[in-house]
Amino acid sequence: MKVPHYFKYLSSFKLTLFVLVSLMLLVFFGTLYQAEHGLYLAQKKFFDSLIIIDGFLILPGAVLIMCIAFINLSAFLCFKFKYSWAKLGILIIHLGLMSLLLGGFYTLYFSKESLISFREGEQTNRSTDYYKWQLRVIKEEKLSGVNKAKSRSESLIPFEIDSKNLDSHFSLELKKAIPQLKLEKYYRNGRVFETPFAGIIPKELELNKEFEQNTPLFIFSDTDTQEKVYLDNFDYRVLSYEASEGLNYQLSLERLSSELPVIIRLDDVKRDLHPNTQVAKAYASTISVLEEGSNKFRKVEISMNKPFRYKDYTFYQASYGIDTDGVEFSSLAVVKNAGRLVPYIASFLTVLGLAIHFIMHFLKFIKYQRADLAS
Amino acid sequence: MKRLFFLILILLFSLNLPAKASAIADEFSKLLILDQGRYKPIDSYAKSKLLQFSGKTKVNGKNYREWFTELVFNPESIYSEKIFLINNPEVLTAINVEVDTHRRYSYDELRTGIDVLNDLVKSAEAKPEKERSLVEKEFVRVFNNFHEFTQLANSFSLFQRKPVLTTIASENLKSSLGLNGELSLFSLIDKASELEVLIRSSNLKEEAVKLGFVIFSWVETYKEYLNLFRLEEVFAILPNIAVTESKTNLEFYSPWTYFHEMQSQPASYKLIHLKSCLNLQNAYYDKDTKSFRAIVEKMNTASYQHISSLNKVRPKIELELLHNRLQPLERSQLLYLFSLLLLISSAFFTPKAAFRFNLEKFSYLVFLLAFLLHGSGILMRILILSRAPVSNLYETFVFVAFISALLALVISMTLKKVKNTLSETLALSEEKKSCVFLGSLSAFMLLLISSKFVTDGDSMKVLIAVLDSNFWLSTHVIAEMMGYAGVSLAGLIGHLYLIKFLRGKFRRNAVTESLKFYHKLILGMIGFGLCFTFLGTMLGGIWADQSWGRFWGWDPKENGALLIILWTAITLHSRLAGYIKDFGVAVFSIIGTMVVMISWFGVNLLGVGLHSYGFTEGLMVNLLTYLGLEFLFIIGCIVLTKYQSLKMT
Repeated sequence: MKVPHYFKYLSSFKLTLFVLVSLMLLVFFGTLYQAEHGLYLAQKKFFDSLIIIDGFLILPGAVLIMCIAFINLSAFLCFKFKYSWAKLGILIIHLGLMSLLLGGFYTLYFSKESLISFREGEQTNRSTDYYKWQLRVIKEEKLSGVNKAKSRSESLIPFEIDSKNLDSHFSLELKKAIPQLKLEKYYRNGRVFETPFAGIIPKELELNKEFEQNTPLFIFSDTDTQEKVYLDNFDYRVLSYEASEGLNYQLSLERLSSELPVIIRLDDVKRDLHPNTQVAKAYASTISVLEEGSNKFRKVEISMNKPFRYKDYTFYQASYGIDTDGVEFSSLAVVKNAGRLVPYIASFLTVLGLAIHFIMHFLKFIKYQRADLAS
Repeated sequence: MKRLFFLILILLFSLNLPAKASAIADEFSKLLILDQGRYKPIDSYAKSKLLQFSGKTKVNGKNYREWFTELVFNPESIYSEKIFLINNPEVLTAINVEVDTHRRYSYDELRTGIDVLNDLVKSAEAKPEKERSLVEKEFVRVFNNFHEFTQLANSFSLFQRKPVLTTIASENLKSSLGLNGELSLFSLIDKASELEVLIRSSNLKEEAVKLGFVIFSWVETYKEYLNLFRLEEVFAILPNIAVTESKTNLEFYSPWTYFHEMQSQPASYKLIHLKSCLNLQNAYYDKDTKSFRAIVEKMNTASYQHISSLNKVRPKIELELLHNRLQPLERSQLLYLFSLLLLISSAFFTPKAAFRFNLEKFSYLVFLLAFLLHGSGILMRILILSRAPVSNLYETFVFVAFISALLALVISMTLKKVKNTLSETLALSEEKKSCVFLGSLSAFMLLLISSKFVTDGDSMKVLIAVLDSNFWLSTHVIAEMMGYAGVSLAGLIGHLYLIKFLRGKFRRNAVTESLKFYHKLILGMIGFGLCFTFLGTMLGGIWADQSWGRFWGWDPKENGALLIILWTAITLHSRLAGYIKDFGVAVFSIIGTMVVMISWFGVNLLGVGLHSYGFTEGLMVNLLTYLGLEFLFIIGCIVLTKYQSLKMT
């Protein structure tokens, strides 16, 4: 069967080298960018993107390069590869790499990372997102009538922390939820300071490289009076805004949270130090877990390198601390990833292929060397 | 031949022996200490301290044991010795000290400018660490070293004889207290209850009050000093006996902290270890080695009892002492160099001279010996630390050096012996010689680089929680390091290839056979490097998935490993596609080594990511110099090759 010319190109070494060199440059510059701007932004710009736009420069992002790599590998195996036992290693390596790329794509688009942070004795069935937030607007309206009843409705407007300017969708949602307010300004990291003389001062703070540490600040203005309204997340602030007589809004900023299939209670946190130092030797959290359909908590210990797995969810010991009240708290990272085992299988395949190929060549080298020297 | 072999070896070993320490210093080096979370012999502690202060293990003809013993028991005697390494002359100008050509300064010299330095350090510390200039960092380093030295010099001040105390107390008072000779602060504190009685009595009341006041003010001064400079963290040799019953507290105290902490304890309990310290100090004064040894043994027994809940501390401490005395890594470095020199010197003899063959074989034997010693050094570290010895830059270089030597040895063993003609029975084949040369050179160079990191302090530090996983540390890091070794060795062979290639071009000699051999070795090493770097990276991914919940997170260290994988893949695919030939493969292999170095050091220099555990100062200049030199070498080789080709046509 004659292979069309463009298929030949897709399976060519030229394309392979283009992919490898591009990926190398992306990784190199992405790492340098990370030192300056932090992992999250580097990931967004270089590694999780299809294209990189920087001023007038448009370049392929890592996702696009990896898509091309997948096509190149598939085309190579379909149209170019000569199947033989001698090339078994090569075949397995390429299959392994293809599955590694597939696993990577699945994780990128379908896995979900979040965090639980709770004090000893507390329990929860929700975990909060690192980078996604929501604006909660509660509308309370006094109804006319003798019984003085109130109507209450709630709107949630999600947004992502890294957005430099919030999109039109956000403004639209805001208008629906609270027509009296207009978004004037949005800061990715900021806080409202209440001063005794100058009154309320909103201040943009330096962007933290660890992006999950940033907390947004909103400046709204009243459409009628042009009066400014400030909202941040400091101390879980809830802003009360009276739009008119009998119409009151409560606004708050919070991290987006999602429900877990289990209820988790933090029973105990332990931290072992190396003697005479403040260097931690080990962290561990003892938790009680109430699974779906069960009415009994079961004890589980989570420590460094020993996570707790439940269905597609995995819970990891992330950090430990003592809060201002002197109560110990623990943070557990939560990852939902149904394709968790794909990289394991893919890595195994690739390493197996590499080992077969290397050993075959090594034996050939010995044979050649001995024959050569003997002659 | 055999005699010559052993003679040279003995000579070599004795050359590298540390200067003989006194018997007391030797005994003192066996005492157990808790430092940075690890139980170790004072020997290791003393070595790391002298390295930290001066960058050397010997000063003024004394080895580190002797120097440390004097620092603890007779500090005044070394105040004028030049031990503080100061690289930046701006520091000296600031504190008004004259620049010394050896860049080392005494405690007495620094003491004159310490107040000025204190102010400079305060303003430097007001800035975040990343924003400090090199001079400011040097201010802080010198100041910290000065204070640590002061703390160590005062660690036994409680037990040292003070002429002032002796003159204050009259003979009458001394005899009433049952004291004689020169007095130490502790000997008086020990008699506190008797002194109290004398203060109440009439005839010696005035003298007793005066003495009591002196003791009180001294103790208070030291307490203040202790609070100010956190003396409790320095020189923790005494077990915290107050909690031995529970067996949960494994802390040790320094003598001053012990004295301070035990105030609330009953007298007998309080003095149990302090009296041993006093006896130790007195045995030092009396140069009584026998008593000194007995006290050290007694103190160690008490310490081991205190930490009996920990497994096998004593054999590990003894092994560490043996390791320090044997110095297997330092000696193997010297032997690799020796093997290299032998091989090079053999080239000066005529090709069929018997002496040349002997030298070559001798070189091979020395290489083998170096390799065994190197391996035993690594094995000792594994046993001492109960973990894989690859958790800091020093250890990784030592390990990669070992793997490089191992690879060279394995290749040399796969080569068939040459034919049994008169000359060849004695000789090593060219290929085998190449292997010895490569193995010795790479191991020597990597060990030389590793020795630069010894001054960073204890090279056997305890691990932080996330690294404390023996399985993953052993598999992931070791595989990764084996990958580094493969690619680095390929780069080294690449250099030899290019040099030989150019030599062939200029001399118009046909050296195709050996070039062919080198080419195959480069490909083999790149393949080996790719296999192990990939394996290591994937194992790292699995470890990350187990610990942090993600297989791949674009962390700088992961990216560094990925760069190596990508570059080796580029090299192999370029060759397969026919874009590069043998010469190109050699050039690409050298670039591969540059990529390895960027990956190895680059992450630490960036100082970001989950892997940046040990940020190392001053590496950037060295790394950039290395990269620049390699770049010039490659460009030079390409230009010369083109030039010669044009000349020939």
